[in-house]
Amino acid sequence: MPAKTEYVTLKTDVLIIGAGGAGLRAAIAATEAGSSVIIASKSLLGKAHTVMAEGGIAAALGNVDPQDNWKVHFTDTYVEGVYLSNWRMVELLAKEAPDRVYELERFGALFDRTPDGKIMQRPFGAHTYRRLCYTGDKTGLELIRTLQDKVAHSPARILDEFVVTKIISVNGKVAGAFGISMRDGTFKLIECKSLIIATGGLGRLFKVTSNSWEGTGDGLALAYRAGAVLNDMEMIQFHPTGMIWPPAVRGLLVTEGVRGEGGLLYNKDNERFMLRYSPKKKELDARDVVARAIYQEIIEGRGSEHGGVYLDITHRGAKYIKEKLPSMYMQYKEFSDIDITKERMEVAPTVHYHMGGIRVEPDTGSTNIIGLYAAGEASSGLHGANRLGGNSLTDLLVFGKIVGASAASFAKNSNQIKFDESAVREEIDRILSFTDNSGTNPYQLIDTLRESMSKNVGILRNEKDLTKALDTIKSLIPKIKGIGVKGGLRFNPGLLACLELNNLILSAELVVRGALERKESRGAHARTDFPMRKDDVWRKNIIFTYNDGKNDMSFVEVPELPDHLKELGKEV
Amino acid sequence: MEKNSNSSLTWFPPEFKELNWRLWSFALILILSAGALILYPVSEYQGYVDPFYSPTVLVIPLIALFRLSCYAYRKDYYRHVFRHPLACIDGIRFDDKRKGYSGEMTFFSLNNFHRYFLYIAIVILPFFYYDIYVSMMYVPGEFIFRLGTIVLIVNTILLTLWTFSCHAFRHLTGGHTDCYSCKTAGGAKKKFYNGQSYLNRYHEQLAFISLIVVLAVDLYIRALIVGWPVDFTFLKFVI
Amino acid sequence: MEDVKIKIRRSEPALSSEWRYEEYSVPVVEGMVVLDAVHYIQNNIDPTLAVRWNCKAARCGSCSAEIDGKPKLMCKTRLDSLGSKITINPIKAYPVVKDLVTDVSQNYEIAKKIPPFTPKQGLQEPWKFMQIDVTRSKEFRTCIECFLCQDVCHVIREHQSNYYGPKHVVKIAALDLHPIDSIDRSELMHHDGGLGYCDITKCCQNVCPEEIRITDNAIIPEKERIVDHAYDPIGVLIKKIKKRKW
Repeated sequence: MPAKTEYVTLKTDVLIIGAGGAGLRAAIAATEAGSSVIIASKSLLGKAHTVMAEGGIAAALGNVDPQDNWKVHFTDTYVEGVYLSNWRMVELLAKEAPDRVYELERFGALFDRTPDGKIMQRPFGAHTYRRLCYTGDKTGLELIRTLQDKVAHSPARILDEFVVTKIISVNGKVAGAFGISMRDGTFKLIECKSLIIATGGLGRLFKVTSNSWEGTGDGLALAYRAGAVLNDMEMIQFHPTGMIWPPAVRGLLVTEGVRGEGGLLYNKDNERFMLRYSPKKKELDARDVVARAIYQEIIEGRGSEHGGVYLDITHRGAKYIKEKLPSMYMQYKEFSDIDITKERMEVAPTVHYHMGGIRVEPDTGSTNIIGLYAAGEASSGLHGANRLGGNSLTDLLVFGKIVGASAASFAKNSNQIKFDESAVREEIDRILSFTDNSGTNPYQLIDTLRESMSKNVGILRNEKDLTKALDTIKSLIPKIKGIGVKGGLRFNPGLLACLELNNLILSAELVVRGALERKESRGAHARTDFPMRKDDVWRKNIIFTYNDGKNDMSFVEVPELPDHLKELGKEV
Repeated sequence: MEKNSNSSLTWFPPEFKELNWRLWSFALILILSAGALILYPVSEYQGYVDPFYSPTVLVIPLIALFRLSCYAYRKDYYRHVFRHPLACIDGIRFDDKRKGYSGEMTFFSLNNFHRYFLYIAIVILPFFYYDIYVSMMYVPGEFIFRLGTIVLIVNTILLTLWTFSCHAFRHLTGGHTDCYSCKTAGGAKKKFYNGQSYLNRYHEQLAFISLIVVLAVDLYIRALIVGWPVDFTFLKFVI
Repeated sequence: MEDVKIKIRRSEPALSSEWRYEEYSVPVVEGMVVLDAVHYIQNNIDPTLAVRWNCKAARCGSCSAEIDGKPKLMCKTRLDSLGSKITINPIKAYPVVKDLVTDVSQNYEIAKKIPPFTPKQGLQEPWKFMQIDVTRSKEFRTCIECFLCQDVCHVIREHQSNYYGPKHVVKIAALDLHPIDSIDRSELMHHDGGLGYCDITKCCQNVCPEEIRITDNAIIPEKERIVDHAYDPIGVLIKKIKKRKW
């Protein structure tokens, strides 16, 4: 088959990469502002990782606990982010969350109700009050379907199963993106005035993860290579409860909703060990605390049969469990023959979320590249060193809307940036270099990388392990020059793996270097060799900039709280 | 795919134009059994009213139509008589792109009148309860409780459950409502709907068990007539 | 444990009309699902084997296929529930793109035709309604759009018609049963949606991985709503008197 080098050119005002919650919400905002929108998505529309979100959307509606308000939500988020968050982002999140939730309801989402007919709210880890609005344990699915429906009835154009491989920027200004449509194996160039990255995280960097296949850090790598600054890359959240047995489903998420609904954690001696680690918040402490506690129990030999701990919800009764946690019931029944209404679950921490990502301006979601925006998990600054459960869905809605609106207004007031076609030609050559040759199998290298990351960049980190991981990465970098697969451009998973491996290895390097550099323990980043938090030295973000093939690291102080927010900590 | 293909459809469904021995034997069985019921009538024996003749054999066509338009039976004859499709698994579906198909757009759209046959069935149902009463009181001044009465009771209960687990009944009593709390007594309405939905889950099973039991009761009474010793008296006293 | 033999239908219709079954031998790990086996083949034997997947947790509905003839999710079908020889075909109702990947885009076209959620006017916000109003619609909102019901539906698979298919009736029922929604989409289903083509043979309900009672709770209630307006003489009469279109 002769290599195809022709491509189709599309033009739009706003290009959105990623069709998860943030991407779709941004598309709605951008079309409402009158911009033409193209959404490019690596998966089919509606399959994004957002569908996996189970627990709910955090918003201080105060429907169940009337004492709740945005100030408490702000404090919870800021404090549990261990003072690394950008206060303005947290403020926006806490203030706008209720509006976004009611708006989602007006779009057609159906939430569970309180006895007096308002939106029901459930308790969740480290939220002071019952704050998570939910639809059973499928809140993410409800969110995606609602937004998906809204987008389907809007003028936005959807390019699904389209892999963006390069963002084209000229002198720090966005000009477009180039990629390959998997379904027909053709190249497409999309010229745009502004571009939003909503590609999610990089959980697939690890072997044991709750993330979908999309989570390969593509957006981060694309933006970074186009010149954007990456922030807090070392901050990776481990969800305390992932499935552990059988091996084939290791890492699969067990929703925090189980603990929210009253699930208790036990070690093999039947001790409710969270009483020891966190006497006040117990099972519902922040994720980093619970995850470390579970990990500690396991490495100290008090783990369960398959190397986890027990999560018990049986005391809630079969009817209640099946009604409130139907997916969990199904998941354990199908995958490990366990009836969670009668038996305990075995769980262990699993990689879940990336707090780091593209550094953005809080009020607009813009990056240092003009016309480039980011939202959702791909962006950074909101969650600091640890994300609270339920805040990610809020993040998608709040910042999806902000970013969509600001990208649209930017597009309205600017012209298409011209660029040289050679950028496109180079990219075509790069993609084609992976096909029709007998290079090394990318999957083996990906496996090596994942294995090493899971082993060495875990919940408890230290210099020795991190250096090992960095060595692995360095040894892989020359090898990835020679990767390649057979087959053409149409739906070729091997080709995709080659493209992703380049992104993975970049993200991995930045994660590990960041983790090595941060010589303290803060939130999700816990160093056994530096177990203390050092606010005097380390209340700063580690940022990376791409500089002619080199990854330059620098530091930025976390902005101090303004006076009106400083007061909050004292009030609550 | 053509749009609004309704106009190209005739009233006569393509399903009937095919060589289909299953269809014709199905029709034959129906005709033969109807004939048998007329030629060999057993309206009543020792106080037992045969279900086929209650209240009169003349309602049989209406009951047959209630059965034939029931969603449970519809599923079954579309599957087994017309093979649209026979099964869900590839390889044994026996449906075919070349076969004509009009679903419930033509002749079988008559099935949409199911709820009217339901109304009729609800009117007829009390007669079966009356038959139970008759079977116990058929000798003036005497109460008698026999095995045959239990048979009639079982039959009547099954017919009742089948009738009230009907999908049309479900729609009419609560299914048409979108917002229960907007209606007066919405909570009670939803509770009734939930209970009826529980019953509805077993509609298919009830449809077939009740049919078999009706046939069995008929045969039981015929067996009594020819003198088989299959009845038993539990209780008998003068009132 | 012994290896399993997995036979997969390979084709790329855009290049050639030919197709073939290719057999692979895959070592079994405890708790392994069919998708794991396909991944094993991809990673170790043939990286060009195309398959669509996302979450591997039965949440996204991407990995639909016909496993030994039965439409199923590959991620939810455990190898120990099958024999030592397994055949995997792509879903047959839709054109194949490559190997196990099919073009399901017509579903997204149909989704555009379904009128979106349209709230009743003049309600006080935030809305108030009860849990009893939520439960029925909620069942349909667990739909993961795996299109297995569409695949197994003989109207879509074997016959030409304008019927949207079970998945879309589920969507319509989810919208119609929303307590605040103001549109009755049964008219659409009666005309453009071709619901009359459904002969309630319940295959869709049998294969639904989310165990949505598609036929009993979505299709038949929609059919009954159509009866209200289009067949029931009393309903038709009321419509005439009230001068309603539907």
